[in-house]
Amino acid sequence: MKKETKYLIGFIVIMCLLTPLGLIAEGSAWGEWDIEEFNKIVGFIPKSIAEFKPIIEPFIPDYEIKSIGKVASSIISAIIGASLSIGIIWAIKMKNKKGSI
Amino acid sequence: MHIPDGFLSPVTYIPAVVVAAPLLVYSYKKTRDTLNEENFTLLSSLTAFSFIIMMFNIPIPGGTSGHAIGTAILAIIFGPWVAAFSVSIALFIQAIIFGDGGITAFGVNTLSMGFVAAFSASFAYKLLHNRVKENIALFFSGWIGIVLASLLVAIALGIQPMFGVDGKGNPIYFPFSMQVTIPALVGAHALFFGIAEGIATILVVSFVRKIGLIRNEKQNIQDNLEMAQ
Repeated sequence: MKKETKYLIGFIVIMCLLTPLGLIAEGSAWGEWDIEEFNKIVGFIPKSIAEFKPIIEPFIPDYEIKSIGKVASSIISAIIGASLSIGIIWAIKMKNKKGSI
Repeated sequence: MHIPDGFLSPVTYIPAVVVAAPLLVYSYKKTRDTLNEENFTLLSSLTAFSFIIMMFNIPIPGGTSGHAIGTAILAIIFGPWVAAFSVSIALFIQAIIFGDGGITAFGVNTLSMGFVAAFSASFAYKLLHNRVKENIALFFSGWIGIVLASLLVAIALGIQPMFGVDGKGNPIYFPFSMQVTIPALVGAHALFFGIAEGIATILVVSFVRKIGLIRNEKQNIQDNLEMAQ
């Protein structure tokens, strides 16, 4: 494996392990409130937001796997997300004939 | 900045999907034609980085939070089309697997954090590169990218009160107008998350240059700038 590749993999792995730092922020992003927060902040729940049924149930909602705790969930979510990102780029590379020497 | 489902009226998200779809197709082709054995590791790592950095929620005064997006890094190294598509991959995974950002809102989310951020960062870097100190050029490219992305989000959310009220007179979709969304979102991104994006852009682009992964960078930048025009 090339040296640069090792550096990059190391960098991504370290970033994945550090993602629990993102849990320090307790508040939601402004506007990205859930139904309870809407009730508290706005005083009512807009109809479309209250009644929206998810089109696809997310596999890991909010990056949290209930049974294993927030810290482990965060790291596992980061690893899944990073792996899928790399996998999709790899699949696209395979579509490029010039890329598959 | 990931707008969830139910926040936007179809009058907003359908046109956004219609605009985003051909851009995604074109940027996919650009990405496919750019990828080779040599740059695969870098592009895939930076796409993964974009996904990961969006998990680093930064708390700000007022009890809310936000994050950098990593778009400018990709835009400076790979050009705006590849950057926009790569970030869209991260956004797509976030929406489908983690429920972060709506599926109906994907068009708006990819236009803001993908295309608007990538093109504005690219143009800013083109303008500033070799004119100011490199770190300033990198910082500002990151900052302006995320700030303009947040402006599009603020507009998309802020026009929602026009699209209908229920029996009690309450808005059906996102309830705050632009007078509220623009200061809240653009303000927070200009003051906090834009700084984070600027610093991340300096650190990661410098790191990538240092480990020597950008060969022929001058040529690379030239190609990217031409692509941006």
